[in-house]
Amino acid sequence: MTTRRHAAGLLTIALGAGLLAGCTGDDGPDDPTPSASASGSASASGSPSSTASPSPTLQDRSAELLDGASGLEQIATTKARSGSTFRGATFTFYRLTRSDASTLLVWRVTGGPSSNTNDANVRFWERYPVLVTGGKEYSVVSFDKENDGWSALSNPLLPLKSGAEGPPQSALYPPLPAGTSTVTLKSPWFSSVKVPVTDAPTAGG
Amino acid sequence: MKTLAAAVVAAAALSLGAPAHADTAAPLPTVEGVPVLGQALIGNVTDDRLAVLTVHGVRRVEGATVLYYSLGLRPEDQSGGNAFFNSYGNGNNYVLNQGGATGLGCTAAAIDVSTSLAYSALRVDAAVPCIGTPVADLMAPAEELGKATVGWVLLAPVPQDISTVDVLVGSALVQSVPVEDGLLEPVSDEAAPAVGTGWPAVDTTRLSDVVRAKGAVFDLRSQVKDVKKKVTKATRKGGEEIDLDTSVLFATDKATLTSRARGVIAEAARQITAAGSSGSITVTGHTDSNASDAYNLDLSKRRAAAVARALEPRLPGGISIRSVGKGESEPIADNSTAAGRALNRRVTITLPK
Repeated sequence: MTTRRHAAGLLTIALGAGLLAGCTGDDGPDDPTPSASASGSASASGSPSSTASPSPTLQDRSAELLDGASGLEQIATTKARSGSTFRGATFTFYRLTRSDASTLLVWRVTGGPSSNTNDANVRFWERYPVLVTGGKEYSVVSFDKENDGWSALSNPLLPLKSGAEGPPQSALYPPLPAGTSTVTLKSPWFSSVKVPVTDAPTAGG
Repeated sequence: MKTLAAAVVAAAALSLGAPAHADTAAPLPTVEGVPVLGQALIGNVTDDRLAVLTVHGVRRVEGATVLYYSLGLRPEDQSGGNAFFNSYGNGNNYVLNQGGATGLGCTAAAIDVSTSLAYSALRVDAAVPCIGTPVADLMAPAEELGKATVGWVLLAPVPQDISTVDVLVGSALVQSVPVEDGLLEPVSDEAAPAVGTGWPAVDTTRLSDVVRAKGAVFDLRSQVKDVKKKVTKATRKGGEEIDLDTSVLFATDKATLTSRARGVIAEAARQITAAGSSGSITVTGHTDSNASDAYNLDLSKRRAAAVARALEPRLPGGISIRSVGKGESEPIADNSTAAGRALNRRVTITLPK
């Protein structure tokens, strides 16, 4: 008999272990080549497609980058299903963007008093929301996880605190047809909800 | 040749009638001398502050692809103590990485849904099992919380014919990033420089230490189900498949086609024809994990053969059919739930690549 492993508990443990491991040292480049000059631009070495641009002064441009980042604007919200381990939680959706290659869903979950994330194990891709439009259901993209079955191309949902909004989650889907303006999200996690679709931003666009 | 995917997408678009115009998401910031190719906000499990993740480049070099990204706290979160970005991302151990690779920098990939492949961080046998920015450098000290630091990681080579990918890093996904050639310049002498002060040096000499390079390329599967026609179009391992729901095709434990099966198989034939397929297609039977291995293997073979027999006369000349059974050996979903078992009970038609 073939079964897939249940590992919600292991997920939590291993995530914690992973974070600890991520805080240890590193064996990155030992001998970076210092060659910064007084001025320069983002360009590619030896590249036919180098992005030659006017040479700006090299200076910390963090503020321009961070101040210009778009924030999270709520586009839809719905409540968790009582039969889900999320019961009592609220799902808030911030982005549903399509490109010709994929569709990206971004959401956050505010936990309820007895909510937990067991239903959101990435190993159970079939439990992830589906995008419903035009008589079709678009399922989350999954990946073949090294002899551990197909898992959702999404990040596990951690942490989940009562009354507090958790970190942004994202999941990748097949491309919606161009011009799609709204889809219905269906999921065993929450009550179905209509969500507007926008086109993904592009660099320089 | 028109692909099945293109045909299905076009059909889906037509089925919507005159589509309403979708708005475009907020534009990316323009920063002088700094390519900004995509952004996302990310959190973590220990710090309530959100960080801005920015993708600056997906660049081909000999034997690898370099992903350049930066991390910095959003303005409203620039208070408190040091921000250690290596701890950001909730789920870095679980998505598109090899054998327990950990941390933000090692869980990264260039994703091409259209070919169903993802090019993840190359693996090395070391304490930090990938080649990239030292994780301790990915931080903003308390006195510089407005600093966005640039990191990099070496991914598996993205093929030359792929021009745009989606990117995974820091547990976040960023769409529509162009793939370009060569390293970014000028190079800084900082391991993780502030954005705008030059780009980190990329150590490609360590490519000789890479192990299990093929394992860095992950197979993806995506599916779109036509609810009324009971036919699911899937892409997997770079190929196109049509999944037929066996609950419509067969009664429980039977391999005789039901009266409803005719319409489903006719629709499958229409899609195969529309895709312009030629050569050999494979019809594969799959079961859930109920019953014994041997029983399921036999049932899957008989069901595949039944579908192949019904499909053959509906296809244009030049297409041959091979039928095989896999039993319960290739589940696509969780066999412990009814929904998962239903997905595993399927007959898959694999089209020629």
